[in-house]
Amino acid sequence: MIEALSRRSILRGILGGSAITVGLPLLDCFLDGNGTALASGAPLPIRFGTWFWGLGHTPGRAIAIKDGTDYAFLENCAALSPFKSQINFFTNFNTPTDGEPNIPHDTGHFAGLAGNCPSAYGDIPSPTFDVLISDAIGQASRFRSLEVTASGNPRDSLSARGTGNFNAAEPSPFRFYTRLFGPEFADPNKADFKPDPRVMVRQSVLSAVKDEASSFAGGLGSADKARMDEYFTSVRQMEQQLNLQMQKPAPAEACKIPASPGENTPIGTEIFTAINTHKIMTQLLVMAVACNQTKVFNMSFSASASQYRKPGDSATNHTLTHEEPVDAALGYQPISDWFATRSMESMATFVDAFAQVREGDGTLLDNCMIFAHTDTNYARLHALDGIPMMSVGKAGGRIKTGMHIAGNGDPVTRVGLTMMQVMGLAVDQWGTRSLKTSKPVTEIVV
Amino acid sequence: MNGKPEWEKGVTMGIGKGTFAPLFVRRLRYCVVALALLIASGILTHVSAEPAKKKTLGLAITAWRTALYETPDGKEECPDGLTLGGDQVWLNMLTPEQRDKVTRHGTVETTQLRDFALERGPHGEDVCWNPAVVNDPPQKTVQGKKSYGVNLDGTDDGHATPRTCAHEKFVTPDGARGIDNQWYRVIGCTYGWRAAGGYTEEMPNGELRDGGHPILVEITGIDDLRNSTNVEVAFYHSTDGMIKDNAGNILPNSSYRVAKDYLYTTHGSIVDGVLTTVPIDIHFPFYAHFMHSERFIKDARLRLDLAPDGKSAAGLVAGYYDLDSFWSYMERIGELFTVAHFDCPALYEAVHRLADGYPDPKTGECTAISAGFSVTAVSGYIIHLDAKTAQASAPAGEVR
Amino acid sequence: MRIFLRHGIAATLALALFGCGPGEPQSPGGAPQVRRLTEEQYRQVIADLFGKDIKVAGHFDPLNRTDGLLEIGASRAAITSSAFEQYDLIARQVAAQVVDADHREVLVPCSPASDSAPDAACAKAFFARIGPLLYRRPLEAKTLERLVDVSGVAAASVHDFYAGLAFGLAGMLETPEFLFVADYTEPDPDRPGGHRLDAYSRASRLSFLLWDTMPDAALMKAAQDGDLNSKRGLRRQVDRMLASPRLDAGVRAFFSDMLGFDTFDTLAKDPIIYPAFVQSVADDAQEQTLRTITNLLIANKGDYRDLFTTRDTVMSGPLGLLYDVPVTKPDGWVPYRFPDDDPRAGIITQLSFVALHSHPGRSSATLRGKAVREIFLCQKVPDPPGNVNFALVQDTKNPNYKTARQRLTAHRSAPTCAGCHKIMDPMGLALENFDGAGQYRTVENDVPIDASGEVDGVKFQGAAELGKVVHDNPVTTSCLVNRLYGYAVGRPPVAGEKDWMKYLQAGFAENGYRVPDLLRLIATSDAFYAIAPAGAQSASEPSPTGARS
Repeated sequence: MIEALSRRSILRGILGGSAITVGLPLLDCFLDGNGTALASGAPLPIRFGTWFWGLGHTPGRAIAIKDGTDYAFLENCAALSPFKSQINFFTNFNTPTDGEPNIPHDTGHFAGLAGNCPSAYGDIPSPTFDVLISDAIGQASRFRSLEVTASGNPRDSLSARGTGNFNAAEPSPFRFYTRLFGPEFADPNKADFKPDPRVMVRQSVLSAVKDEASSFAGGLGSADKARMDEYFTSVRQMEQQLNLQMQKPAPAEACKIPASPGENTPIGTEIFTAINTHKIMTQLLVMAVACNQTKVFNMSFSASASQYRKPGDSATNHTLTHEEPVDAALGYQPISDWFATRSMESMATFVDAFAQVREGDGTLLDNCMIFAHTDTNYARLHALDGIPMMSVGKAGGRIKTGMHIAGNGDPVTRVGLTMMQVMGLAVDQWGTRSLKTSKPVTEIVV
Repeated sequence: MNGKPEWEKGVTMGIGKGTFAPLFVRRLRYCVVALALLIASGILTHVSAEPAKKKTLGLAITAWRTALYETPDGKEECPDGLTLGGDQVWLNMLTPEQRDKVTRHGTVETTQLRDFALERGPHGEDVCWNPAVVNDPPQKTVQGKKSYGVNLDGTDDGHATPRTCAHEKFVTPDGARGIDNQWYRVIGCTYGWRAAGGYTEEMPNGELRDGGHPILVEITGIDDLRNSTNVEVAFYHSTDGMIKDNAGNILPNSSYRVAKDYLYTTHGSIVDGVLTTVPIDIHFPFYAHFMHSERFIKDARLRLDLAPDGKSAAGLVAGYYDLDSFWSYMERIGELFTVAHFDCPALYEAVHRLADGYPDPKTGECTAISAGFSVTAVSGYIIHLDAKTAQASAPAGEVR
Repeated sequence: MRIFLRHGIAATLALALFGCGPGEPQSPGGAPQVRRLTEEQYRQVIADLFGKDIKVAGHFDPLNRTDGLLEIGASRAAITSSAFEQYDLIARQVAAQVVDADHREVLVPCSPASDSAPDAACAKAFFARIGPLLYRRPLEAKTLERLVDVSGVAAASVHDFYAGLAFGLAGMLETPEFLFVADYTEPDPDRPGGHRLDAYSRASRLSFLLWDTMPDAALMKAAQDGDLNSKRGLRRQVDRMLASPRLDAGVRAFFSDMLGFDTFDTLAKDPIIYPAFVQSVADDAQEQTLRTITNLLIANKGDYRDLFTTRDTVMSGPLGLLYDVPVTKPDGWVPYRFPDDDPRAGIITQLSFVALHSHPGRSSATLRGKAVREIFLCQKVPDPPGNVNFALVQDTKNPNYKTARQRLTAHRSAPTCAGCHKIMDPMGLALENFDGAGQYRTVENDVPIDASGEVDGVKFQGAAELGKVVHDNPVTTSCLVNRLYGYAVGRPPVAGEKDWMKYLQAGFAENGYRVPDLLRLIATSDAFYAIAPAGAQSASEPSPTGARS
């Protein structure tokens, strides 16, 4: 077995110059002296993620807009204040529907994710842009992307390929742990490495599976062909996983295998349970990224019409946003507001977890771009215009941060387009009809 | 008023009470009274007065604990401190050199020394199976004046009667006098029975909560849950377990099939929501420490507070706890003396010395001890299976 | 004699009208479907193939409910990366068990020359036997060859014959041929240029409809012998399958889908408000309704509409807690009949409906009304408007509406709300005697509950009468026909099937609304197997054998 991996052997691919692309794992020896770029001058790999919460903020209690691009976090978002320098806050971007219905807790976020307004619940009209990004940068990782939820419901995932199917979210901390760090995990920091011959056998089996599937797919109609394409993409991802299992993974300084959460970790929609689940899942997810298991991730803190509730309360967050009276003295709905603040506290937990991981001269958060978004501007009215969005992380220095960006009524898709371009996708236009845009938010691009 | 018709006297109508009612009201009164008489005489037979339907309440006992009065620091009831466990008693009998050797300079856990502490009879006998073969320092018994319980012997001062031995009485914390609870006197200062130790009784209660088979109390012939003069009370044992909610509380409305060959019946009455029963001898089974045991209580009677919604009850089972029944349980759990801090020989001696019920005709020594046990219960359906027809019936008219 | 003759004539007429084919309206058929196995079907297939003790430990991606059914969603379902990972994991675990020391004697039909080396002959025997069963059709020669090769290479690599078999088997379990039930077509001899479902696809359609699993040996043989292409042969198989106890599984699977029981997986009740609604209650609630259904529809050959009025059901110990009734066998299931005047009558009043369609901590007249409309009447309720103003609901003079009926008054009076809520709330309000966990109550917040309602002009009082209203509504039975047919073919009925659907509805009525008879009508029809002509769906040329058009 090769003792010291030379850059060349890795670049050539251990599988003897085959056509399979092997992603460059991050080795310190590849970094330049400043730890800010690869020795070759290429930038450090950037990770992309989304963080979703349902039911927005209480209007007037999220941020205070100041002169220029300055802003300050208000009560709902107080927990995010320590990370303000990493966060861009987008306001006043709208969601034109071109006559499609405003499907409550659905149109709001899918418009900005898929560039298209859905026509009914369950209709996911085009791929969400996290999938486009993971197709571009995620193929060489063990997982093309990771979808997680704190709600206990695997349907609470917003990541979809546009065939009408979504990428189910992992709801169980124990199962997530087993998937990430169980028997199939290759510890990048383990000194010895012996490729398992059985993995090569599995590779040849998968090859036979693909042959079988090709003749199956040959006779299908066009709609079914698209589903078969997704099948083949999935098989290729499994092949990639097996490829990686055949090589010694590059050491990852920040990778420390976490303790397994208990098999009976409570999962549920009681708010404190969900907050706890989110915390555990965040720890696992961050470590998965730090151990180079994936470059793309999607966390749903809650469903869009969040069913979270305080223990003993008969009303869920969603019900409250509609039925709770506006307090005459306060001017807002107090319990709904309470939930909004809890959501932002969990977002802060998420952001902080990335900020705690050292990478090169900075942190993992510095090399991430996370799209934090929600489904409405004012849940009580299912308001679509001005839905708050944030970018979190410096994307390896490719974006400026700490700014408030006013959208002037432009479509929300400008943000998704910007993010795809920042992640290196060759896309200059995105979205359909009034959501179509070719104008990135250049203010944040370096 | 003079000249009042005979049939108007003694009929309280409430109309114009105490004032002179206008004529039409008086006429109305006459009509109503006449109607009442006609009904009573049976002339208007389609208006019938049906007796109220009798109701049944089924209860499953969810926990059983000695009704133990204790203060947080124990000083009031146990001024001399709590009892020592048999291991400590034994260690105290050793010289310092012997103690040091046997504990390997104090490094060996006393639970590991348990077997030595148990088998220390003159011929190596287990002193819980043979408690009388050694003379241990006496049990620390309750010195306080307060206890829960009931006046079992009917006397004010505990003097000896043909059926009881002389003993001291207690006063309840609420001030009720004449309480017989010698059992409390014996074990009230033993860690394993007190709340902090909770061992000897929490094990069977835990078994019960984890799907164990409860004792059922079926009260039939109830007119009204607050007051019923004569009710039948039956005790059954169930073959079905109780169901818990996610917080571990036993849920009401479960169904329990009665086991064959276990039945005790008595009468009782409910006054202001409290059921009291006529004493009978009852064997109460329980499961603990991997074995079946029972508490045989002579003159057992209930005093249960029934919740107004009919979903639960709590109160006392009091009577004379048969000493043989008690000891047949203790001798099999002797090994718990290290964690429950009791000493078998001392406990055996104390419970026999302080026993106050059912004197042995030959020796005059009392063979049972006055006791009070607090019980909690939830309501449920008691299912009687008819062996012949395999039909099942649940008593009609369940109380809710 | 004359009576017999009259009945005989009537029977013959009925048979002629509804059983003989010529009276049956044509169906243009739909596109060939490719349906992903549901989790239940996957597990049942593994059990049928390898035995009940083979553990399937993994999780399955949820299906999307489409046109009211998960089974139609299965026709659109794809396999994502994470789903494929799970299939791969399950496949390897199943395969490992199949060849382990405990199972190989029974499941591997031969012994290799050596345990630690390849044995092509034995591998061939194994795959030749298991292949057609897994793929639900004959194995192509080149596929068999490939399997023997792969397992041979594997066996040589790890010096273990059985491990080699397991690698090959695991591969089979993650191919689309296994994971999807696909419609294979062949040229139709009766319609030159046209195509029809081939015999094995007919067998699969039939088997998954009636038994929710792969075709058994007898059905496979019938397919092989060409019996399924003749009405007589088809009817013989259908009658055999309808008479089998395995029909229960098929009927349960259908109703489980139609009633939306998949949402039980994520059903949460607040443990403080409803402490008695523990997991065993949720599990038993589904079972209770499914048993009520199979008892009435299959065992008692009853009228489908009676599901909404029947007081006969079953009880378990945990359910007795919620229903507050005595259960004479608390550790099992016992028949139970609610008294004649009891508000519990019909499956709409059972826990599986009222508890499922509620919030975690309170009931919901709107969710229940919507569910009655969408599930039992196939009436789609429009989505709520996006810009609704809830200020009307939040009357500051009465911040605490005492009963749901009071709270929902605004729903029915405000113009933007009333249009839709008028068709939902009145039904749901009749069920308000059942709280969010399905427990019976007469008051809410100390105010007596008024369980009166009105549906499409018919007034009623209370849950039992709501059941009667649904029983009597003609839409109820046509909805069931619509759903069952959609479940059968994996797609909603197409425009050209209007007459066929009317025919099915008439047949359902003629047969006293008996579901097994409706199944027979569907399963023996031409429509069930009709495939839209090639060219309408795709432009690719059909292959000579066994390819889809």
